[in-house]
Amino acid sequence: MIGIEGISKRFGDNEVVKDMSLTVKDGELLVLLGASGSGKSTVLRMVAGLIFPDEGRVLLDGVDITRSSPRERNFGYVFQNYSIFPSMTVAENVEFGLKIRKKPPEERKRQRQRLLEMVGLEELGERYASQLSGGQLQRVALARSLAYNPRVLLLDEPFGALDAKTRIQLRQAVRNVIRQVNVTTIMVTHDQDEAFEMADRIAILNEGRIDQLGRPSDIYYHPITYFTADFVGEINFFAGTVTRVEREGCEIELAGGIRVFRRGAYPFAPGMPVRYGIRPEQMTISLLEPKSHENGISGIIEKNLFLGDITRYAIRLSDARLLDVRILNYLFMDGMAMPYDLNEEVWLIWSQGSGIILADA
Amino acid sequence: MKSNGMAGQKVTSFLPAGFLLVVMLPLMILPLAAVFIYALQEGPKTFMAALATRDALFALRFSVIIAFATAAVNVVLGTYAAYVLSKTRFPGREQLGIILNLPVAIPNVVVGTSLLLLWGPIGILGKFLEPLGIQPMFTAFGVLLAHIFVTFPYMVGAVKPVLDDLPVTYEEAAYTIGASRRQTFYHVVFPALRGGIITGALLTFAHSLGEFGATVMVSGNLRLQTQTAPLYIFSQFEGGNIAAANSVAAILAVISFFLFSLILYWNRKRESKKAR
Repeated sequence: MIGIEGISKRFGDNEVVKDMSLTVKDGELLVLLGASGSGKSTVLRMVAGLIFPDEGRVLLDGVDITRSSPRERNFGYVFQNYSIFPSMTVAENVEFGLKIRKKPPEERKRQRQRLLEMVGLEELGERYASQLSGGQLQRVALARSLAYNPRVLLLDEPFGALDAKTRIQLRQAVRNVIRQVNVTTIMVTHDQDEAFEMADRIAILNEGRIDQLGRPSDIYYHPITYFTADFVGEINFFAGTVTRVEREGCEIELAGGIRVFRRGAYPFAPGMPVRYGIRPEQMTISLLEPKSHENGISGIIEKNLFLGDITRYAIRLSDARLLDVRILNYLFMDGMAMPYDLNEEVWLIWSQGSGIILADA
Repeated sequence: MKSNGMAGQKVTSFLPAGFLLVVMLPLMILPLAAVFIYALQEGPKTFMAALATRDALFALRFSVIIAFATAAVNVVLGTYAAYVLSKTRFPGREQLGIILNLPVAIPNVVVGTSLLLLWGPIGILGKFLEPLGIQPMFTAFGVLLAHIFVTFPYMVGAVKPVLDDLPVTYEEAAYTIGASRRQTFYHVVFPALRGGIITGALLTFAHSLGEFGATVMVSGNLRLQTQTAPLYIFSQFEGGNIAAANSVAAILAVISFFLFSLILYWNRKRESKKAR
């Protein structure tokens, strides 16, 4: 179990990490997700021992390792720029950790081959860094950091320098290798898709603090801060007031008079100001009014954008607000790619089981 | 060299190059040619005879040995200095970098003078060493000291940019893998420096070979003891032995030309390797 406790770090006047605490379970892949400047790389470097925190501790299985050097920690670290040693072959790079640990040549060779096979580079052992593509280099970096059985694997925006296609291909390959090796992993990224695809749990970082920590679905459907709700995925937010609270759910009146119902137990009182959010893919478009078990709002289609698998609509509401809606192109009807026209008046329908409610601070 | 003619067509023109040659002729090309013309004007036998004297051979040999020794010392010292300046942080780092580069700014003669004032028989430290029988000046060791002083910035200047360009993450990667600072330098940093060190060594060697100003002060110009090739050329010319001076001058010119061609070729090879 690896954790940080009350970690803070300042660079000059800038407080980059503020009193952060978190524990990573053995065998889990935790992703620190945040924008540039959120402090995520700094946290990772403190876990690795490349920099030391101003306050707080780094704990490994209960032992304080805050001030120990990177050498002593026996962690693996993969850099965004791969940092494959240019004067060594791929094979020499991968076995470097074992060489430092004075392992005999046969063992080094065995481990090296095993890891190169795992990352799909068994033919490229004799190549040099200048002869490899970015994706291949990152695989070498991964193999190199796993060769000596590190206690924890740290990935610092590992796919940041790669093109979109390679990034997607590599994600799953890397995830599989990590699962195979079953090493506790902390990964840092700003890419949501990446975080969602790879993480067991995600920590959302906002200006040096953790806004929320949880499984991807928890983060997505139950954000606890406005920042998290807005940062992850897209969302349409309304200001509203709680009108009715019952055991089965609560009713909210949105600005503009529309009432929506949300199933579930909420610790609200009538009259409370809240923010009600609904994600673009949670709505559907209909020419028919919402039924009693549905939420709905009417508007005029102002924009439609065909994107292949989905169509995006911008709907203008009566109070002049614009809503984002994403509809899966499930049916291709009568030769029409887009079933609804501009300026058509439609109903937006969504389930009473959807909806994100945040108490207005 | 091609240039676009008035009508926009490509026209081969030797004018710009030709003009440059005319300007450089009296400045560089003719004087160099004069050395070889004089050296060989009495025929190759006389040339070899002038070269084969004890003094001439000693001077050439001594210069080459000193150049090798200077390069060897500078490889170690210069690389170490470049590493400290590039990879470590301490207050006054920038100032130290400027100080270590001073020899380039100071006239070599002044370097020689300063060494004499420190280590010479009446020097600040030298006067304590004199009664002990230790006198570094007017010896081969003194010449070596002067050459190291004067060529040091060339080594640092060749190695430090390579170190600066090496991303710090390479060393960090080595540390996280478990390497010590020493192991990291040996396995990761040093191999990347090879090119810069070779360039620096070649530059140091070439500059040591041609060093005059500092050498003339600290060596005492002692025949068969501390007389380097440039000093020999100067003394012989002053003494009216043109042929003797020119024979060594011609050899020195050939060696230097060869060295600098090597440096140019080596650097071009490194640039093309980097571009891959």
